[in-house]
Amino acid sequence: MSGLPKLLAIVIAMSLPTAVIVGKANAAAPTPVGGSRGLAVSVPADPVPIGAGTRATALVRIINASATPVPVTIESRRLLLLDNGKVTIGERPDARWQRRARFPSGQLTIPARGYRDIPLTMRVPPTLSPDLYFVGFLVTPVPTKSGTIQVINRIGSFVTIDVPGPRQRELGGKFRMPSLVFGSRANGTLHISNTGHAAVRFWGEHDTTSSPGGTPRQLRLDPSLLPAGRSRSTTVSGKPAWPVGIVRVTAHITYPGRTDAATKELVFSKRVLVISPWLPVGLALLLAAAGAGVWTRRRRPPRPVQISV
Amino acid sequence: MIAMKHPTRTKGVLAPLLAVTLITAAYLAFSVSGARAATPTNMSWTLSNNQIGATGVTYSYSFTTATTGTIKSITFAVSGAGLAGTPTISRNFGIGAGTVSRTGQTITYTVTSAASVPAGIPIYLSFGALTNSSTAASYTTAITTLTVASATIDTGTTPAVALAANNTAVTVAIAQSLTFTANSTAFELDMDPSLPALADQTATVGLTVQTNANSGYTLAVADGASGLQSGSAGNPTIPKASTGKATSVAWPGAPNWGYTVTGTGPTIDAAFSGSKYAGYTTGGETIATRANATGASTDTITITNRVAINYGVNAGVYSDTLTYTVTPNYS
Repeated sequence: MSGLPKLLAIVIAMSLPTAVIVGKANAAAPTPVGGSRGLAVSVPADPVPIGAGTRATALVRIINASATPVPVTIESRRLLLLDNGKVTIGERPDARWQRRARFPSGQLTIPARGYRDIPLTMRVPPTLSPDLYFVGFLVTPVPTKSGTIQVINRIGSFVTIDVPGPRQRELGGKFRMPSLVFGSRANGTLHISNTGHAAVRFWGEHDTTSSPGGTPRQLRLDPSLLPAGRSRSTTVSGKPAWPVGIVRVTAHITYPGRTDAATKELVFSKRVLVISPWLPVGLALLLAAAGAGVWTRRRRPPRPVQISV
Repeated sequence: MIAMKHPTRTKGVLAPLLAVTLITAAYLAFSVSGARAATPTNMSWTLSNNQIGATGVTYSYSFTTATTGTIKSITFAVSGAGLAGTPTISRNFGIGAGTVSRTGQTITYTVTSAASVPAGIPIYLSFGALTNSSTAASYTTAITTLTVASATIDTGTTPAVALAANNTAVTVAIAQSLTFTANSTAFELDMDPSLPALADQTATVGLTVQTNANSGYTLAVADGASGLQSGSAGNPTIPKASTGKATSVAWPGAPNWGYTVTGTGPTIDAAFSGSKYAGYTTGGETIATRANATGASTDTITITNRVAINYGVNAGVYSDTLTYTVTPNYS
């Protein structure tokens, strides 16, 4: 065997185990089929006003952020509105809106890095009482590549419509906050429930005053929606101006009354004694220093008494 | 001697007493006059549309009280003529609930339960459904806080606002939007029970979510009704790691099919803490939630899908469909 073929044989022999290892590593890795898929759905931020017995159209925008066109379907879906704003979307059409909200039938192809505006026409029956209603739908990409395990990223969404008119709005609430807190601030929980028959958009503020000292603080709450029968919880907190102080926390929750020309209010107030955890430590140190002073004074030899006659 | 000293001491006490009395009287006199007609501070007036004759306009007023007083009503007297519409209350901060009405150029906010408002409290009131005057001009609003007896507590005038036909009304409507991406639309696992590295494999699916929905979003997962099933004779399936997230377990070994979740941004369901695995359900289960908007940052959720087989699993091609559904929360 000449020198060159021998060297080649050695190189081939050395590379064989490497090839086997690489083969093993490739075999153990999952094989992706198709690239990424990015979709977005945009709906009007505010409720769309539609009078009872009339119809209106809202635009739903479907955006394809991927580099390839994506076929999608849009179908009516029943929504389940839960506490604290959570939404789950059902697998069946919403019986109330299935025929009253006209969704496009069949597949729509959203162009690569483009979008399509889908006009969603909704018809409100004359008998529907004034309230906020949620028209749910599901945007589902249609798989185009085969693979043993398909991945479908769907977006559920909804358009909110407002059937105008007087309505019965009623909120109730509970405010929980301890009367004594060892810490830097007092934290409480405000639990608001919609006990009426119509959805309520409420707003409010948390006012905090501290005694002694401290300027009143006002923390405003942006409007929040609360469907009938649902509740929301928020955290309320107040801080004393000094390491120890009495904090009065007042929470105001305001919402429209029967009409939007009047508001109703829930007011919760609580006085809390807040003691900083450093205060006992400081006092203990002070006492220790005072004790040490007394002890030192007692240990000092008594002054000689001078008696002058 | 004693009788001589006494008048001198009386004079010495009376002089400062007289001075204090005079100062107090002056202070009280000035403060009373201030209470009669103090001017609120930080007064502002903004309009959602400053085109003449525009309808459905929201007038927003803010000011800080100058005097402590029990406010029963607040009047907003707009200068000029032509104000129209039946106002609604869009917001009220710093002042209790109430009612709104308009007579001519004056919008009146009446507090339902009059309460004492200290000095220095910022008040904000926003009224919707108003119609601008059809006369192009500069307008101001005189804001007056009144007691139950209609006595003025504070009064002042806002800076001017111009209504014109040639103003450019800018309305920027930002839709409520949610973007959801998956880094893979499908994957394959080439498995072999003869070698542990090939008999137990994972495939991660990277999801990202971005939304401006104030209350965040909910992410749910589900799989097909048949699960991971083969089309060969008898339609065998690979069993699920658990019946759902409620019964999530440490990886149970072969033969099983399940997933675990990690993420940055949302709250991942506690069922997946400690790298526990769950089986997909057909009905779907919530695996991640977020209670506020993502802002400019992107939430990432990694779903690690795991399949383990042994010689007890029939050879064949097994398939399933994983559905990840994101829904914006209501706010």
